[in-house]
Amino acid sequence: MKLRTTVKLAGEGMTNLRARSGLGITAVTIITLAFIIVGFFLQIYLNLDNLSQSLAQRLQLRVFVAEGASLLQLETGLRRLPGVSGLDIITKEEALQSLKKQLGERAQLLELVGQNPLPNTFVLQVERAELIPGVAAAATGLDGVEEVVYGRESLGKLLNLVDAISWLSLAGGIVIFSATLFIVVNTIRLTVIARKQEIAIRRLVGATNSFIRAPFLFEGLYMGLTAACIASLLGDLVYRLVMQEAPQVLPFLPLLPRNAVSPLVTVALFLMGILLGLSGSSISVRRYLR
Amino acid sequence: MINFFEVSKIYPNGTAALYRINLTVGKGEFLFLVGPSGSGKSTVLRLITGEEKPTEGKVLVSDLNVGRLRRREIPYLRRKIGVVFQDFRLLPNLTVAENIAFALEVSEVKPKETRRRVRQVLELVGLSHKAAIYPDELSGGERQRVSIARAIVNNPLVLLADEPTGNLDPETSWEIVKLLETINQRGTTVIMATHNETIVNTLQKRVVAMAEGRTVRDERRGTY
Repeated sequence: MKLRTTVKLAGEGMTNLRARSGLGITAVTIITLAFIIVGFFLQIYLNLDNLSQSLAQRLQLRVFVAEGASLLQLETGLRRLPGVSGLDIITKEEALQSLKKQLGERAQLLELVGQNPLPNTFVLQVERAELIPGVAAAATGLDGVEEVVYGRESLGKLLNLVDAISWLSLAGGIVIFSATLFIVVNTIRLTVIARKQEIAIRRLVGATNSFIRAPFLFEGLYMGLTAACIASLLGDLVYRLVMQEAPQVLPFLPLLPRNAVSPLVTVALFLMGILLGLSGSSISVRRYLR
Repeated sequence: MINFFEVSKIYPNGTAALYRINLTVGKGEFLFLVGPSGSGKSTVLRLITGEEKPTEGKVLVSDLNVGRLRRREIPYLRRKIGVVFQDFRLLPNLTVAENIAFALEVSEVKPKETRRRVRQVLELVGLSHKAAIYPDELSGGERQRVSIARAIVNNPLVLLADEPTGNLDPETSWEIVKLLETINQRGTTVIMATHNETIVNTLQKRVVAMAEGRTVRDERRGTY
């Protein structure tokens, strides 16, 4: 389709929307509200995810090496595990030194033990929190590993929470998407019905399906984009306010900075708006295409 | 130009609309399609525009096998065919000129070329002075002229007219048929389905008579 035609059909989409502006405004308002909810959930989700990751980084996954095992071989094995992003070694000597430092004056107690009882230890960094249990299990199976420890309990709870929130957001997202899709489909269907005659004549004189569909696609697109635009602006505004107030109210809660949240939320909302507008209008006009 | 080979059309509900029709219409011909309501005239026209597909047999329009066309090829067939209906089918919110230009929009004709062609066909149908008027303000005959102008503005190979005089008084009907004849003389094939005996008998063109889905008569210089 030529640019000139596309511009013209885009204009028709705007005319369609204006022709029933009351209905259009109502529909866009409802969709905007839905988008605001989605954006809010996204902000929460992003922060929770960040929280769980930063906590995970503090969780150490320690691999105790069995007496007499080859450190080099084990190190290669551990580095190869999927999800492992870094690795430190604490030799038994270093461990003993730091233990001595901790014990301070009571370090003489260690003399009683005689030889160094501490094992060589690998400390692993894992890319994401949810990978830790898997890495731990895999590491346990390697030759020369005596034991693998990490904060199993606390990590489990945290992961469960993040999991629950993710599923809840997904389910909520699907419900909200379907509801807004329903609104778009019905709003545009009214335009399609109002323009049935034009559609019939266009088909008669040889309009392609994409030509007939285009004005309605644009109409849906305008609705989705308007809602996305307002919702992301409002979402950003609210997040800014929260960031201002949060340090006083919740000083220990590590919130993501605004520029790590708002762009992502905006992109997500715009993608959702585009998808919503295009799919909604396609559904409305489908019956009139052959 | 247009060829029907043993064409049958049976609708999904079992109604047989056409039964083994054979018909050849040459380039530049003027043909009357006559017969009672339900005899299959409209089905013949709809098979030519690709609105319907033959159940059996083959429909060729300028070497295109209409029944075999893919869905997205049909629009390009339609651009070679002009269609006129009894009820005009003009858009009330567009002026006469805009209604005609509407047909050129879909084939993405440039605005300048559109204006030129619209002016040309308006002159041909004798409505140049009413270009900026809305269809509501026109008489029935004038509306049919606009609809004919819209049908021919794409320079179609063939013009199909389905009862174009059905809503018009005898005098106006004559004007419309004269106009169709003029268009035919400029080289466009014209197929007109009609009930109007007087017109058919006076004009002495080729007549194909249909009854119960069959062609029962095909005469050069025929009568109703």
